[in-house]
Formats: sequence, C-alpha cells, structure tokens
Amino acid sequence: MTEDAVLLAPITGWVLLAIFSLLWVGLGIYWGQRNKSFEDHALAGRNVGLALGSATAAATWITSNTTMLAPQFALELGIWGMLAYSMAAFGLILFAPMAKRIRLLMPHGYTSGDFFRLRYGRTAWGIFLVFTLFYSLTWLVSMAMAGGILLEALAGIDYVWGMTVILAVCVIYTMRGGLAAVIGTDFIQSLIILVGIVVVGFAVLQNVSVDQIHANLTANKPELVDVLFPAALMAIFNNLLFGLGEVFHNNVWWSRAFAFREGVGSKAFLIGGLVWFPIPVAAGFIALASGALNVAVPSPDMVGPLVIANVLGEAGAIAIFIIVFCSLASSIDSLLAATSDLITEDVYRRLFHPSAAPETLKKMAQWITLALGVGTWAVCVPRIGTLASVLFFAGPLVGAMIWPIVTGLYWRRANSVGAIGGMLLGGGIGLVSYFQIGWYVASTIGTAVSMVWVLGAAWLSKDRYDWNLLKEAS
Amino acid sequence: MIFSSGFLTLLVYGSLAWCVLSALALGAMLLRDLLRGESW
Amino acid sequence: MPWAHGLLALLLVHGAPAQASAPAFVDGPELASDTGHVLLAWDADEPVTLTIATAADPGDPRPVYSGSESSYFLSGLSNGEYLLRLEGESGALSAPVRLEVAHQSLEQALWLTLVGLLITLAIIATILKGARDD
Repeated sequence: MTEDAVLLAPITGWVLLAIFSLLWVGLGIYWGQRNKSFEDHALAGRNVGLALGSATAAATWITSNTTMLAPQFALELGIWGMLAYSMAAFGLILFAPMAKRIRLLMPHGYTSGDFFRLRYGRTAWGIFLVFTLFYSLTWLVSMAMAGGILLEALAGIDYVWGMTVILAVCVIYTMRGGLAAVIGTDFIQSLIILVGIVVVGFAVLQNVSVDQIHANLTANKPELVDVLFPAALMAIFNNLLFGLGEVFHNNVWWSRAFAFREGVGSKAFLIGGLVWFPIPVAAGFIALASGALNVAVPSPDMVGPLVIANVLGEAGAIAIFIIVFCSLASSIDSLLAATSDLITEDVYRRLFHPSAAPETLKKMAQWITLALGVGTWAVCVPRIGTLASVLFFAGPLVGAMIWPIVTGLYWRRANSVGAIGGMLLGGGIGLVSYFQIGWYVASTIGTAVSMVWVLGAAWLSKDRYDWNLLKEAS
Repeated sequence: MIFSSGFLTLLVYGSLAWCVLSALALGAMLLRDLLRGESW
Repeated sequence: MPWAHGLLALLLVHGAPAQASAPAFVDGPELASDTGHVLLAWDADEPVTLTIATAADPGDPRPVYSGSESSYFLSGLSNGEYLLRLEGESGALSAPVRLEVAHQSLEQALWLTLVGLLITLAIIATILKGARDD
C-alpha cells in the first residue's frame, strides 16, 4: 500500500462516513422497534419476503473482497481469474434447495449449530463450532481491517479511526435492530453497490474500448488472456468449493433460511446468487483496463480505486468510497448478527442455560454482539498485515464440511463417524496441502478427502437417522 | 490459445447489463411486496 | 560524549555532495515467479522509468512506468526470462534485475480442474437427487 494513494480529501471522507453512519444507525434503531423477543431479534419474525430476502442474500455475499479483490484477481489471474471469482455465486445458488430442506426439517431451528448438534451429536458439534468460529472471526477481522486500510488509502482517514467508526456503526445498528436491521440495510446497500458498479464500469468504457483493453493485454500482459493459464485454471474450482463450504456451513446463511417466509427461501437464494454472479466481472474488468489507461499500479490491492479515480476523478473516488463502505457494512453486520446468535443459541443457551427466557436471550445476543465488536476491534488495532490472509486457511476447513452437511440433510445413512472423520481429515489434510502445495488446491483437496470418508462411512453404515429428531421444540 | 476480444466484450457488457437488470428487478420486487404487505 | 559523536556523524553523512545516487531495486538481482506476476519495489532519489526487456532481445526495452512511486505491480507475463531496469531522470541506471517466469505445470492444473469439476458435479447430483429415506 503506497502512501500517495489518497484520492479524496479527508474532510470529504469524514462527511460521507458521517452521512451513511447516521443513516444506518437511524434505520437500525427504527427497525429494531419491531423486535420483541430473541426470535424477532435473531430471525426477524421468520417472515422475510422475496425482495428483501434476495437482496440480503446478494448483499451479504458482496463483501469488500468482491469489490476490491475482484479487480486484483483480474489483474493477477486475468479473464479466468474473474470467472473463477464468479463461481462463488454457486454457493448461494446450490444453497437454494438446501434452504427449503432446512426449513422443512427444522421448523423451530435457530442456527447451523443446532443442526450439527441434533444430526451428529456433541463431538461433531464441537468440531463444527471450532471451524465455524475460526472462519467467522477471521472473516470479521479481515473485513474490519480492510475497512480501516481502505478508508486510509481512499481518504487519508487514519486507520484506527476509520476501522473504529465502521465497526462501531455496524455494532450499534446490529445490536439495536437485530437481523431485521441487517436485512433492511442490506437492501439499500445492494442497490447502491449495483448502481455504483454499473456507473463506474461505463465510465471506464467511455475512456477506453474493450478492443483497446484486449490489444493492450495481448501485447503487455499476454497471460491474462490465455485460456491455458495454469494458476487461473486451478482457481476456478478451488474458489467454487471454498464458496460452497462457506455458504453451506455458516450461520449467516442458515439464519436466513430460518428467517425467510415459508416458500421464499429457495427462490431468494437463487435470485441472490444470480444477482451476485456478474459482479466479479463487472467490478473486476476495470483492472484489465489499467494498462490501456496508463494507470500505474504500485500495489495490486489498489488497482480498482486507482482506475476509478483516473476515469471519474473525485466523483469516482466518492463512488468507490460509498461502494466499499456499503459492501463492508453489509457483510460485517451479517457476521456480527449471525455469530452472536450462534454463540447465544449454541453456547449460552444449549450448553449452559437451556431454560433461559426469550427476553434474556435477546439481551444476551445484544451483549455478545458488542463483545464481538470490541474483540474484533482489539485484534485489528495493531494492524498485523498477515491477519487478513489467515482467512484463506479456512478454505480447507469449510470445504471439509460440505459433504457432512449435504449428506446430513438428505441421507438417513449419513452418520457421526462420517461427519467427524470428514471434517478432521479433510480439514487437516487440506491445511497441510495449503502449506505444502499452495492455496489454489487446499479447498479442493480438503473437500475431496472429506468426501471419500463421508461416503465410505455412509455406505458402511447400519444406522438410519430419524428426521423427526431435528424438529426439536424451541 | 487466447480469449478473443469479442468474448471479452460479451463478458464486460453482459455483466454490466445483468447488474442493471438485477437492480431493476430487486426494486420491482420490493415494490410488489410492499404493496401486498409481504415485505417482512 | 556519545551524542556529539552521533551528531557529527549525522552532519558528515548529510554533508556529502548532493548528487542523485543510482536507483536500486529492493529485491533481486534474481527473481522468480510461477504466476507471471511480481511486485517490484525500489529506492530512488528522483523519478524513474521502469523498463522491461526479454532476455532474448535485451537491446529493446519497453517502458512500463514513469513517475515518482517506489513500487510497481507487474502481471500477466508469460514463460520466459525478463530484464528489468530503472533509469532515473538524471540518467542514472540501476543494476538490472533478472526475472524468470516459469508457470505452474499445466498438466497438474488440468488434472486439479478435472478433480474439482467431478467433486462439484457429485455435490450437485446429491442435492438435486434429494432426500433418500432408505
């Protein structure tokens, strides 16, 4: 990250930050008024409709990674890089039928943890909690750090201040408004992001044609248009499987499956996935134009903002600032909500206080949201650069959970031995391959090993699970 | 073997158009849900 | 008085004639990449021009960047050997850096892609097949 990359005056950045912070917090307080119980707070009344459902699925999956990393992926891995990134949309698309199944099997369910506990028992549940908390917390930390870094690079706002404001705003409106606030703000954020990406994309095309971009790439960065670019090819399915693992296991998505109205779930995830699909290409291609536009790239993670500032000047810098802030907020709020609900339901309630009153649970969830925010803040303050990349260790871990979850939802033969072995072996061997071979194989290998074990255990199984056990009363 | 300029054009314009459609569709869907009282 | 020695040393160093020293890459002189991209960083007192030439044709360098930044991200390079050089505004030349680009094995990549595809299809098939109540 270069010191010279400030594109907006700090005062402009602060004004924008203030406007949107007030907006989200105001809406959070307003929508929070409809929440009476823990169920309202965590699951927005279990009645979210199709429009809000689709938008929240798309917006939550659009992280700052989508808007900032997509250009970087394009610059490093070219055309296949952008398409590989788009593959993550299958996480949402394939979760669509699963959301319907989840709702059917667990009408009183709250979290993905509930599923693991009831379907596979306490050991599997424990392993699941370790994997999912590792993933969720590293995701949260990487988003918060990205926020601070970006606000500093875009507007010269000091890293600690920027990171603090983003976290504080998200914590406040998530605490006050619960999942309803998260979903409501997600809708607005999704529209802002989509409009912003389109405006920026067409602005780039006003300055340089696709033919010019292609010619420049062919001459100076030929690998980026190569159909047989090895690293990019490997990224295609590694990214797809990482995406499947992330969506299939995490409470961010399961809580939505429980929150959407009956019959809405699968359509909302499908539409959300389709909305998400073109975004890595629409946001990423601008990086390919950097050569043709003669935009110097001192650091690959800044290629997006630099190209935008080049073609749109201050207006572009404002646009990218807003787009990034919205994509950060739409993911941080979901992570805070879903993780605090997971801890409240799985740890506080199911492990320690099974007969806690709904009012207590709601308060607990709010306090845990605050604790998560403060904890994340504390970890982010020292700005340990390599922390952001720790998220990628989660690839093999989440990949290893795909087969236990899918078979667990559909096959009575799937059993605890399969799930436990699948997660531990897949996660372990996947992690080893991450370090021994490379990031681009880790999710694939983690998933493959887990698959073999889970299928083997199911084939040899004498047990047949009773689906009714999942209908535990709330 | 390289991706052609035509293919890249299709990807770029296609994805931008798709984003426009998505934004319009989400807006229309919300309007419909609000009018039916089915937003949440 | 140690502080005076330090002060003297400081004065002596900064009293050197003010002539731009040649720009210098931070890493090198040999670099390798298996992805075709590399982040180059350098130290320079003046604006520089970064040029790249293929080892096959070293006399024909192409300017890649001109300005006062101190890093540049090169990407999309195909297999081959490249010579990178910095030239300061004053004409001062840096020592060249030799970049070897050797992409990952295409065969391994295609096999892994196939494995990934098969696993994905198996997942899709399991979901679409739905509940098995056997």
